[in-house]
Amino acid sequence: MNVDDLIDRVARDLTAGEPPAALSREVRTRIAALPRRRPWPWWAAPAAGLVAAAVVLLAIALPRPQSQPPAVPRPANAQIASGARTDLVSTPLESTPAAPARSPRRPRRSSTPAPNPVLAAWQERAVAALPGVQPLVIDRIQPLDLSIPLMEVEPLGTAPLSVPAGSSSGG
Amino acid sequence: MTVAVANLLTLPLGATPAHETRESAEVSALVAAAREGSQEAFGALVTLHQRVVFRTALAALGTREDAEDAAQEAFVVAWRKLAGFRGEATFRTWLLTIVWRKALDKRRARLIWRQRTVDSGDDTPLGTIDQFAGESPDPERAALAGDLARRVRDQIRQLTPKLRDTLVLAASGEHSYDEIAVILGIPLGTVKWRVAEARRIVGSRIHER
Repeated sequence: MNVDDLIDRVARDLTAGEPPAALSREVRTRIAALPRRRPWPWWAAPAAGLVAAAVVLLAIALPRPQSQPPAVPRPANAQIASGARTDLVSTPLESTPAAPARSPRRPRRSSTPAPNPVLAAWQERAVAALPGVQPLVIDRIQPLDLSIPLMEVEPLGTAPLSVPAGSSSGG
Repeated sequence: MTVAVANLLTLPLGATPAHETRESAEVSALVAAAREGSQEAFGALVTLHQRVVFRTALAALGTREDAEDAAQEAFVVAWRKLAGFRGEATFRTWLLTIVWRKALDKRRARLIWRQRTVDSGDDTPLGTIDQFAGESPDPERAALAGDLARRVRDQIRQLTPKLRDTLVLAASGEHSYDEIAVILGIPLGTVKWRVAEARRIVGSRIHER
């Protein structure tokens, strides 16, 4: 026997031996003591994916809360003075030129537009317009015809100019 | 020496018929049933693989008690992680990978423990060595052979863990080189080199004395 064969035999001897007879029984006992678990059904993964996709789409479709306060309506006097409107109450959308920014890439999923949170917040805080208030009517302001009495101016009377005769002594 | 052992010894290292690259129909059916929760099917898998699992753990640990513990833990872990078994390797290879990791964890823990306590000494059975010594009818030659075998064993134990593990796994008669490569997580060429290098080192050290 050469050295390699001897090395192999000795190395094999390090792992020689049969497993204990109780090994299989012990393993079965330990497994039986574990809490039973049901394996995941085959549809669990696709279902989880659909739920996740639905959550993402819902998050995109819902309007985002606005952090900036709604614009203050313009005073009614300003509108009256401008003569453009006669309403006493204005809405922020009408008074503010910049509506809430909307992403141009956001798809519209429903035909009915989503309620504007700015308008809703303003309506909650706004004082309802008084009923029965008639629009303010202002008469035209125009001056009457001028009635200025005529002034009579007498002609200027001047005395004839008399020039005294000059003396020749000084010349 | 029994006939079975004698037949096993005639096989070259890494060429044992125990390892198959394809999953057998029986094992596949048992794995499928076990994945559905059948403890009976998994128990059958334990019975089929307990020997190779135990010997693999023994190759790393060297003692039967530790090897039995590692084997039990490996089977329990395999039961828990059976849903994650995708069949990329055979169930046997997957199981051996688990038991090898468990054995290495236990070996590290034991090494730390031994560094803090007194070494318990040599407890390896001397079956083959005594058997090897008993083959010679001459008592004097038998004693020399036994002494030589003990020296070989000591030299094997003094190898680095990487070389020793590879040599012992290859010599165990339970694994092919391909399977050893998967268990150890190294290329096939590295397995072959380690086995040859381990033999060379042990042989040279024996000749030195």
